[in-house]
Amino acid sequence: MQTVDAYITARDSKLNVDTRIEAALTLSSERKKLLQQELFRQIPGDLDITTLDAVEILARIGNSDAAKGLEEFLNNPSPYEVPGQIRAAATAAVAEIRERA
Amino acid sequence: MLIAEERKALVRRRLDDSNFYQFELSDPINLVDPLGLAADNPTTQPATPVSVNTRKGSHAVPGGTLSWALGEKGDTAGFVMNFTPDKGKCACTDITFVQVVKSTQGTGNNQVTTFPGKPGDKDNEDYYKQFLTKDGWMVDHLKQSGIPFYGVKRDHDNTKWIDLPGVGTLGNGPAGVDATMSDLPGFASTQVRAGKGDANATWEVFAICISTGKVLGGVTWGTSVEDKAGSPFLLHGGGDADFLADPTQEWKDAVAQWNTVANQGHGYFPFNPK
Repeated sequence: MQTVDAYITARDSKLNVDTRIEAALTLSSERKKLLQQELFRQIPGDLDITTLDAVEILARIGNSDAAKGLEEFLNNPSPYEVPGQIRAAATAAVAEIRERA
Repeated sequence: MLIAEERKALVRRRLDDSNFYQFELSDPINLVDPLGLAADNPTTQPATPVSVNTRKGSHAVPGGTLSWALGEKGDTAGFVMNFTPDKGKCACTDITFVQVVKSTQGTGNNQVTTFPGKPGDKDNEDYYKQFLTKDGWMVDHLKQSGIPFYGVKRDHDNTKWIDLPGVGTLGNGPAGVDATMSDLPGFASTQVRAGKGDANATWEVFAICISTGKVLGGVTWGTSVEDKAGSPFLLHGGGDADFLADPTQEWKDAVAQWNTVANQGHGYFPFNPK
């Protein structure tokens, strides 16, 4: 997959998350950083499946900044009722990023 | 990413940890795989709510063993559940969980149902209200996911169920693979101890077989915060005595309501328990 196509695929929230992850993993580190910034705009978002997908992709491609951002999302008292599934996925994502680093 | 065997080894090394929930939070990769923790150390929990505590339980059910643990950290609860199939006795290849929830604030005539998301967001509330039973229960699911199962998702070809990283793993009886789930719910900070009434949430979760609809057994657990400055985040249920052998009426009603929405053709997966 060409990088530009992969980037378009990876950021398309209408696509299956595993298809997006597959594309994201082929991106250059610079593109991954750009994608990471885009994904963070979806957190918390509507606290729905789009949010969860963003967390799941960050778990696979995110860097230490992503881990920090997710920790901030998890640790700050939230004015939202964060669904337990999203909190669980984000907690695991931080651990996965730290493990990879 | 750690492979499954590495995850299991990490969990086993920590089974003796006296504070299960602290361990779970500090090793979140393993959140979905508590293995036989509760089964190894079954305890009978007090009926009254306690704070800064861990509750556990386990029970033999058709085809395997159900084990679970409930704890807390700050204003967040942690609940993990595990179905361990008995090899040769469980033919189901797609074991997961269906959880229902009732979340309220206030008491008496002032009691209102609360929903995940931003309090007061009407579009958000309207979305969730379609899943509510007359008694205020609904299938605990992620908004717009279309999936009533807790801890699994569809693969990219939309042909089979697979693990949802960090949230759950799909169980498989013949292969001897555990089904697991992890839930870390909390109330919105603006809604508790803020003069808006006591906050209460109760869950009932059952291990199920997706393909056959068989219900394997479950447990009830919950949390609450009294509307008072400095009041603790309390746990309810989640002990050994809170095992549920059969689906409750509220669980069945919430699943039926889910199916009512699914049958309207939104692409939602129905689930018909048997």
